[in-house]
Amino acid sequence: MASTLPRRTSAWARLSRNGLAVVGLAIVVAILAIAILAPLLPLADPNVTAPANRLLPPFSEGAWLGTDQLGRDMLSRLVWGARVSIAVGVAATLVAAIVGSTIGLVAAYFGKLADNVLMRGVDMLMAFPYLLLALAIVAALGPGLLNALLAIAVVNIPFFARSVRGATLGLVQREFIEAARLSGYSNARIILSELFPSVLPVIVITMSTTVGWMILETAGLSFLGLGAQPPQADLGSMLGDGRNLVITAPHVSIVPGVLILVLVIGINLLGDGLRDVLDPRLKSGALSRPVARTAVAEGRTSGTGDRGALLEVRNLRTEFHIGQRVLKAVGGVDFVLQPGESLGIVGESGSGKSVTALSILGLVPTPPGIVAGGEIRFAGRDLLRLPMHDLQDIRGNRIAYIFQDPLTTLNPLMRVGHQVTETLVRHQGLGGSAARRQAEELLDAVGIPQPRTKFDAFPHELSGGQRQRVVIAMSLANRPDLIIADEPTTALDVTTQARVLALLNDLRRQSGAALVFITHDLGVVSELCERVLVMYAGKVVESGPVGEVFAAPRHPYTRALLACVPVLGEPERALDAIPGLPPPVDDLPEGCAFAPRCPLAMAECRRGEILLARTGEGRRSRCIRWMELGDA
Amino acid sequence: MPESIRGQEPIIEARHLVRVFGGGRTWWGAKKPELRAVDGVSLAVQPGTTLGIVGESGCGKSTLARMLVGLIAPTEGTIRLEGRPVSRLTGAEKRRFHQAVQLVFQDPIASLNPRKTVRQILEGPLEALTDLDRSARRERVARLMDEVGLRPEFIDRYPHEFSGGQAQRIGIARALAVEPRLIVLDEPVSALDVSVQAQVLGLLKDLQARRGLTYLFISHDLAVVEALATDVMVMLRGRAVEQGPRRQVFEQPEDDYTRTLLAAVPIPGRRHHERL
Repeated sequence: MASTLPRRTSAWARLSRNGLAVVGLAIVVAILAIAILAPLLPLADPNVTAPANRLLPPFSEGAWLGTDQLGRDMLSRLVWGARVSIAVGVAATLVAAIVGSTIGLVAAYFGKLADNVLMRGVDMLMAFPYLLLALAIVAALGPGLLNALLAIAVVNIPFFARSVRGATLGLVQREFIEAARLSGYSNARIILSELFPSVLPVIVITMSTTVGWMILETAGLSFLGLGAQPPQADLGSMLGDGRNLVITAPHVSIVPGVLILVLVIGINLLGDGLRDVLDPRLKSGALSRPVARTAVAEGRTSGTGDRGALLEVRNLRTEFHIGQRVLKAVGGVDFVLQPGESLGIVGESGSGKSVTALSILGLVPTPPGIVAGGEIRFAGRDLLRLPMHDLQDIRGNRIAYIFQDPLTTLNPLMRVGHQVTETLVRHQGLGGSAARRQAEELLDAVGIPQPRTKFDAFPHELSGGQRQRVVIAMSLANRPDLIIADEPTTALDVTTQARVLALLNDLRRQSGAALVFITHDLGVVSELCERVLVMYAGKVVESGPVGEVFAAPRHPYTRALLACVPVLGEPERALDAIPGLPPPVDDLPEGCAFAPRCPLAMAECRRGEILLARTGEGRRSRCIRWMELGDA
Repeated sequence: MPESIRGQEPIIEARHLVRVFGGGRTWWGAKKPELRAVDGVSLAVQPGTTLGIVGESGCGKSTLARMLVGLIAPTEGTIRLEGRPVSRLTGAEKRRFHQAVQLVFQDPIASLNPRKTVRQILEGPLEALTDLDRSARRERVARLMDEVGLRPEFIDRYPHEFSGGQAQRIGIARALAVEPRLIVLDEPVSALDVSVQAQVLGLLKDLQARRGLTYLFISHDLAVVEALATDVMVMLRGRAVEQGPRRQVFEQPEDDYTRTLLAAVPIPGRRHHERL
């Protein structure tokens, strides 16, 4: 599935898709440009008083925004004042970011005593109301812009220290930090060259979301007369000056007030936009919500097929459309499953085996997945065209899924018994106590000891093997006709795997359900399945009875795959690796996808589509030279 | 317990290693739960051989590996590298130790810093642990790339541009860079697809033959360990339940757990779960 993840798009492209962030950016850039260019603009001196012209209203001759109570030009004071407020706010943000991030990095990296001392200090800073603390600092150091800056920086250190510490803690245990230690790096070098670049996005996010707040705080302190001292203008002191004139000359306070409002809104919009762009969780697509069912492309042909078959998949093509790229994860898969039959699908990662299985019940996430063509018939019904309601009646009822990791399949906040009863209530309409009784029987059947007690356990209270047994109990609850198991034992230990496989096999035989078993482990397929499909680059390359296919493969890929797996008891056998890598599914070669790695490939293999041809009783191969492989 | 029975001094020798996590007491004197992740393991690895350590998840094999490479300190027990005791490593001693012992990680992508190029990743240990000058480092890195089968033009790329198998080759090159005598491999092929796994196992065998390396190979996959190891240790709940030459452990296992483990492995083309 790794190849189906959305590709990262450029940061700028993602920011520009967010309209509000672009508005914020425009506001911030405009105000910054004016503030920076203030000395070059044809403005009156902001500090020259002209008592004769005091309190001129806006749009007066020679004073666009009017004058204040001392006759100073409001426009000029506004521009110079904005310059001061922004400079102080940004400087305070930088100071807080540098000090706070250092504290966070050091505390998280060294842990234990350093962490305790530093973070308890930060807690103490946070224990005081921020304004009180800033007031105390200014009171101790005396009023003035520089002291206000320091006070605001100190008050904001905890925000940086905490978020950087949190981000770093997640990194210190990562393997690349261990690797850096083994490479002989000093602690300082690990912090600076390994950790800092990785937490930089967090620092930038925190800066972009706090700088507006810090400008407000600067204005607040100046408003109280603790920041900018007369005659210097900053947005806060201008507000303070206008405070007594709100009735008689409202423009003196409204003008700086509006600018503060616009500036802070601009910064916050931009900050939110930046956060969305930089946050790795949002980057990996946490905001895209897949719909309840895979989209299906229009205009597929419908035919009639094998009437006795339980499941019939014809020319299934599932694609992922990501940006300009089209990943052909499944490129035309056909198979037929008879009632009670067990079919294994093997292949390496990216071969399309999981996507094939997920396509059956429309579980491939859309966006970006889409069933581009083909047909899936279950007991004669076309699953791709079934109304949503009917499909939901089949999901978890007639067809059940078992996934690889039981810990992510089970709801961590629900007792396991209730997760089993849920499906009984939904599909069989059982009442509370009857459902409970049946769930306990199921838990007992899958070999959970003391099913009555374990009914009330939470998933984390069970071992990995027991959790997968619970999932099997859920899948069997409604006596399904078909179980689709996607690498159900890959996350389990080998001894647990053996027991779970034996259980799955016994229960399946008793209930007569058919099984589609997806795995990369050729040994597991042999253990459980009657027939096998070997997939490569989204296509079935060989199919047939498991024993025959593995004893005498009729496709070079199957043969190569068998030759490169170490087998217990045959340590002396040379492992013949397959040279090269599978082709990317958005850039498949013409002809046979395996040709570039195949020792038998010839010119014909690279021309036109190679068909899946019958090679014997129940056997098929997508190779034109299969006869040369011999039945050795 | 294994001694230097083959007449040669072992590269690494550990006696009665214990590592406890948690434990201690709360402020109110109540005991905190403790976990003995490794509980009295002794081992010795002869130069040029491969000791395979097998066990299921939580048996303590990764903790053991991290103690042997000096990433975590043992709670009890001693480790000797070429006869010299390894305890609290500082300065020059630490440098010497890391020059001799390196680790290859399980997750090839996670063990490479996503913000560094292959060149920076490979030159890092050379800068910090050797006295090679700039041109000698460049030369060594180029040779390493060639040795692990990476194309020279990959050198300025970032880890996310590589497949798992290629990334693991970079991880192996990084471990090899300072020319260590012992390489601890912690599940080095578990995250890889079988066709790529065979490529990496082939590379490891090749490097061992060419450089006379000693491996400590940790894996949950018995077939992989059987294909690579000269000696095997089976771990269960922090203890070594069986230790010996590969043939003996795999063909005449003495411990019940070893037998259970061997019986549980599925084999391609064979159906044998009835045995359990």
